[in-house]
Amino acid sequence: MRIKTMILNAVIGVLAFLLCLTGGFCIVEFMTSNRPYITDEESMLYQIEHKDYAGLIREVHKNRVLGITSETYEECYGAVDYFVAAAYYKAYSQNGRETEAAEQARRMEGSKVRMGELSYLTKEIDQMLEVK
Amino acid sequence: MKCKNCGSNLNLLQSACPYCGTVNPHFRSQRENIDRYGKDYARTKEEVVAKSSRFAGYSVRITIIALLAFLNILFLLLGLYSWDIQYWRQEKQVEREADRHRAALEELEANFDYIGFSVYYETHDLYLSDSLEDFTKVQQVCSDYTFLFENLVMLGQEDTYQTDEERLEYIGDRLKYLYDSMEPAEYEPESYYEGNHGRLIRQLEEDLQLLLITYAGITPGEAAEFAEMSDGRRQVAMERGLGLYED
Repeated sequence: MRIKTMILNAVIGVLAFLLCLTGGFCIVEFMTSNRPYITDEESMLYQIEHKDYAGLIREVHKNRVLGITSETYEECYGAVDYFVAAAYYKAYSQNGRETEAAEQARRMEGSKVRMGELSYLTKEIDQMLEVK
Repeated sequence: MKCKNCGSNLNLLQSACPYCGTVNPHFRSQRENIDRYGKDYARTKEEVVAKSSRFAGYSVRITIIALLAFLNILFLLLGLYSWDIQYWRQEKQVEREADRHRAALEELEANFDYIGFSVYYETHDLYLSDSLEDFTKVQQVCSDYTFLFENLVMLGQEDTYQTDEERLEYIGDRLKYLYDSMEPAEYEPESYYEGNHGRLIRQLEEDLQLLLITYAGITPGEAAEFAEMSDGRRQVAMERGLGLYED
């Protein structure tokens, strides 16, 4: 009788342990499934530091769609927006599309303001894209 | 019963007649019977209690085991099918908010915000919605444009990740997808190309030509014919434009 009880108790113990594992597995799977990947501030700054503005274009748009914001994020968004506007400015101005180029120049100015402490990067971006 | 001597009433549990004092001959056996029945009752009671408590102990444990086994299987299945469950939930959510998404997509489309359109569509998994199906083609070309923009503007830049040759190869492949997908296929509904959708696709092609001229160094003449060129000729035009393999 005691042996039977001990066996049942052992089975309960094992199942309880397994329940912790399956429960944890289930929670982790639900938390990770279908959750969009978000680039954190440090990664964004790292990419900006390495001039990988183009690699951040999608990330910035995605973060905005998801409503992710902070002072640092906004400065990074400003830098990437400046890069995109400068890239279009160069394309329009070199191909005689003055109206569109002027619109992009306005976007560049607006982005520069939002870049805050990162506004020193505008020179670097201008040099990179050979924007005059 | 009656006393054998005086005939007065006698109780079975009276050892002698209270009137004449004659001994009750049935008292002893009756007493023994009562004692035996009492012991039997106590023993039976003990056995019943022991058996029932043992049974209760087993049944509680077996119930707990069954419950734990069920929960284990449930959590395991939920974990394994979490992606499908989330996909199903996302599908329902997208369909519920289809009107809001349509308004947002129409605004991005009207502004020719190709990158914004592509990212919005992808982030919200709008391919799951049947009611937004008419944006499928626009999304396809906007996604290709986004990739091309990201890579074209990085040509000629110091890049630790990719060389210009590698980028050009990716650009060539993606241009092929883009130009192929711009051609309406027989099985595609006309709604893919109607109204603002068609307007965006034409404008995107024009803007892409500017990017190719500016960043891949092709001539305006080449840019105008780029969609009709073979993959190889496009590749050569871009390599020449960038001054690769000049030696």
